[in-house]
Amino acid sequence: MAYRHFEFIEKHAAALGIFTAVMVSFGGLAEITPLFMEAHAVKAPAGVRPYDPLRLAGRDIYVREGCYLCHSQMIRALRFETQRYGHYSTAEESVYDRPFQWGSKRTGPDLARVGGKYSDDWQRMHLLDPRSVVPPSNMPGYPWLAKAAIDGADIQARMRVLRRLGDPYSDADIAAAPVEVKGKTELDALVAYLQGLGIDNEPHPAVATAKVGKAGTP
Amino acid sequence: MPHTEYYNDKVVRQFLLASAIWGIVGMTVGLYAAADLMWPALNLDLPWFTFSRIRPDHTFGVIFAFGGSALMGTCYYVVQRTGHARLAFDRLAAFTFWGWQLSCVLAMLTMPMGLTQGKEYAEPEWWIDILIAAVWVGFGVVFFGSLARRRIRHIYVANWYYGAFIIAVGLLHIVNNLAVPVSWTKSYPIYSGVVDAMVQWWYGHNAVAFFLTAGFLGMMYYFVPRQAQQPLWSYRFSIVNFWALISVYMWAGAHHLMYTALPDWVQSVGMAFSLVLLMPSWGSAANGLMTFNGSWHKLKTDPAVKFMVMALVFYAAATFEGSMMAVKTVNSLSHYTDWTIAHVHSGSLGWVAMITIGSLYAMAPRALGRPAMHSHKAMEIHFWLHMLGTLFYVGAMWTAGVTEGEMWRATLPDGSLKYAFLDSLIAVRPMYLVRWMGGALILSGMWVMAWNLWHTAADARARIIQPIPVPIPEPVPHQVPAPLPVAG
Amino acid sequence: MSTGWSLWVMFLVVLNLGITLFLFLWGPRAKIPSLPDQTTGHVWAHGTLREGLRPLPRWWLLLSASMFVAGIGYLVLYPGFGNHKGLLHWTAHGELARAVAANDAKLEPLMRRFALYPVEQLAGDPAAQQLGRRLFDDDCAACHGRGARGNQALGAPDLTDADWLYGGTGQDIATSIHDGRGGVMPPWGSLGEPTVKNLAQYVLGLSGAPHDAKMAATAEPIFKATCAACHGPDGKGNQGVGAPNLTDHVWLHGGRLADIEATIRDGRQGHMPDWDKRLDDGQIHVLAAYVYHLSHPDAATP
Repeated sequence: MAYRHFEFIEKHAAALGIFTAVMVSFGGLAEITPLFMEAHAVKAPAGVRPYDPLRLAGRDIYVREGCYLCHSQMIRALRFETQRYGHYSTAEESVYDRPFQWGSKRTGPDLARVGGKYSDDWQRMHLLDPRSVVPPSNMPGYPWLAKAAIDGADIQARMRVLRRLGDPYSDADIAAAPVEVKGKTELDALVAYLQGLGIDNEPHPAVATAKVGKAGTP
Repeated sequence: MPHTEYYNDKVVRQFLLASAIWGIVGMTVGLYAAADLMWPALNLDLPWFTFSRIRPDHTFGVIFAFGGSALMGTCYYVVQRTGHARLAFDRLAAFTFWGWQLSCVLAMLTMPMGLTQGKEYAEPEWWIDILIAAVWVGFGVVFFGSLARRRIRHIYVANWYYGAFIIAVGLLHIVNNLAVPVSWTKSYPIYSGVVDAMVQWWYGHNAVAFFLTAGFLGMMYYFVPRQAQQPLWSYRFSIVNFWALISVYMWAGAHHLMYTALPDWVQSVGMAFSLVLLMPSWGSAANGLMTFNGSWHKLKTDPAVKFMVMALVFYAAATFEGSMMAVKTVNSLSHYTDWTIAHVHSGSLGWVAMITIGSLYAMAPRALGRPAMHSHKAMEIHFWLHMLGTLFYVGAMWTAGVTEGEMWRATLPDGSLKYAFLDSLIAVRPMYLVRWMGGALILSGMWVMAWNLWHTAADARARIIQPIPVPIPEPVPHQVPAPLPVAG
Repeated sequence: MSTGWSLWVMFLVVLNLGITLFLFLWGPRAKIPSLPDQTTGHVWAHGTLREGLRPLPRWWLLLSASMFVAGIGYLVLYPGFGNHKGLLHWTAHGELARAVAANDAKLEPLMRRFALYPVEQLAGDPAAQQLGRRLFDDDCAACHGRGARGNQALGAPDLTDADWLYGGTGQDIATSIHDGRGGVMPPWGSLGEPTVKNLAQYVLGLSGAPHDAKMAATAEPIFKATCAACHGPDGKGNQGVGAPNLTDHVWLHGGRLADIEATIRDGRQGHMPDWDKRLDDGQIHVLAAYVYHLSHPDAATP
């Protein structure tokens, strides 16, 4: 290449546009395409089902309320993380997560394995009025969740879309959804989702029983 | 005898106005969000005042509504001046203005209502994304159409950056937002888990790279030499920096996912390219800063120059910090903490907002048919409010971030962790107050700018300004240097 | 990653780094035509915008060269260049395993030492208190509070007093942590509102609080027939089933008249999760010692 080649590009708008488009595509082609094409290799662990209707509803509420802006769901492979939060998060645990909710900021603690850590009652009180249980907390209260009901037909529509995207929901699963969420509030759904985090999407049984405190022995 | 042609400055003025308004809106939301973190009861138990619902409004408001309007407005201004030709497709240009404003209004209204895709900086739902994509294609057509009808053969470097900004952001926006709708209020992305994470941060990082960097570098490359009244420091530098910056940036997104479930190799590639990225980043900062050589005395007299110089200093600082934060060991400390917030704001308040404000102060009188801004003193006041506010903000968040990172990992000699998570929140809460005060200073500076622009626009409001004719033929003959010897 | 994709990644890495390196090497040397005033001769914006053609600064060349060395060196040493494992054979999980092993090596002697002592004795050990406090604040404080004073709205007991629902020996505390606890008081609203109110007065009287003696007297037979099954005929509670002692001034769900009436009318449910899935026995031992220490601050150092 010599300067005249650059000069040519700089004097031709179409050439400039085409070369720019080519130059900006290398990174994505290298980093995304292999992951995307080999995504089928990341399989849900045996026995792990996609989110049941109530937890799916809860997850969508988690997304809607923007919980990911203050809570991560990604225990990094670092000793001080596994010592505090438990086994590091694995790719398999997120296979049904659309969108992923790994987060980028921890104003509050990581939630990847919060399921079962507190009682349902605590989760409710905490969501409605965080400072009633954790006085120094700066988390907002979400009292409106207790007043809103889950719509069974809406959940069915969501499950159908997810099935189209590849999640293994059966006709029976979808048909049963309205019954499973009948009478449930958004608060119930969110608590159900939180209580399943790190339990119902565990990679394998060995991890489910892994001890949190021992500095992260897998 | 060529017909008289005038620059299309109407759409420029519209974007200028929109940018000032969105700047105030976006920063007001930011200030409220910061107050929510300090005094959580301020959400009043209402969803649309709750931090987690309005944080996307703040980011969208300042990045896409404020920054986007400023970028599109200056882009239309610059492409006309550097091509000596009127903007192509008047009506399409008008559509890009109104379409962009509509997209921003819709996004800003729906996100606090809970319509969100749950992906950072890409929260608006699918049908707003389609509108944004349509506007963006229109923007691209106007821009490249204007380039096509330019009268100066050599395309100025500012336009390379604006062009890359348009192409890359279009690509990122479309790929990251591919989703299947369930209803008007909900969609699911076609990617899940790890792939979704990689696509999102490829998008998220390059929203920074191309929206907040390439676009604003385009702004810098035009307005800095204009305001310094010096030739751009080095064309040589422009070529090297441009092609390196646009390609290398695209790899760096993986550094947002260090030590996560993303495969090791992607993390490492992201880190390696983030290091190399320092080359075009500092190259661009240097090319801008050194353009002021010979004009440093303007720092004393011209507030627009103050904004531009500080912008470039912050750009250099933030890109250095960014490359360092991409190093695995540093990232293990900084990730998930307020250090990230400090970094992003030293980039956005320091670099993006300052270069924008400096450029607006440089462009507004010319686009509004006035010899200068209405009040010189108000510009000075704005500079110091913005500068102090940024220092408060970044200083507070940097302190908070390092505190959090250190407390989370602090381990006693016996191998046990020293602090509980809540200890770190209690420790950094005072910093949240300082941050809020910094934000208040910055927002008040924006009001000063709005007041100043309002008065500068007096003629425009009275509709008595004259359109500016395109110089045909060019006032300075197009100088063609002697060709190099054939052998060389 | 398959070999094909590995080659794909390698190709793109080489291509993009190669282009960048070429620009870096070519830029300072490129022969670009210039005017005598060291500008390119390109002019825009009514003649006001020109470009210089200065050589690239030395500090920038050095900085960039070192970044190339660092970036390429990193891809040689660490995984990233396709399937190339890196000369150091580093993996994130390998690093984690080493860090955990090193930390466990420090932690284990401490835990072994802790295991030598019963909970009551360990409670006086400052190292155990520190470790226990951190575990308590991360895991238990959400319900029991950072000061361990409990939370009546939730029914989480105060751990700093001498009143124990399920027993206050070290072993009892450790069992509560290990297995969790579920306290259930059935609702008695079916007895009728007057009876509920009378019973509440009787319960107030048990702890010597001011109460309506007449109403209390009416309720006494019902208490003995119904409530005594769990709380005992004298209302002193039963640690076997976690029934609270009603004769002290410690109230799990609040001691105001309205609280007591609500407790009787609607019943109460308390749930403490089991921690054996999250904490190992050594940690539960330390945690129990810390909890014991909270109500026995003067326990001697072992």
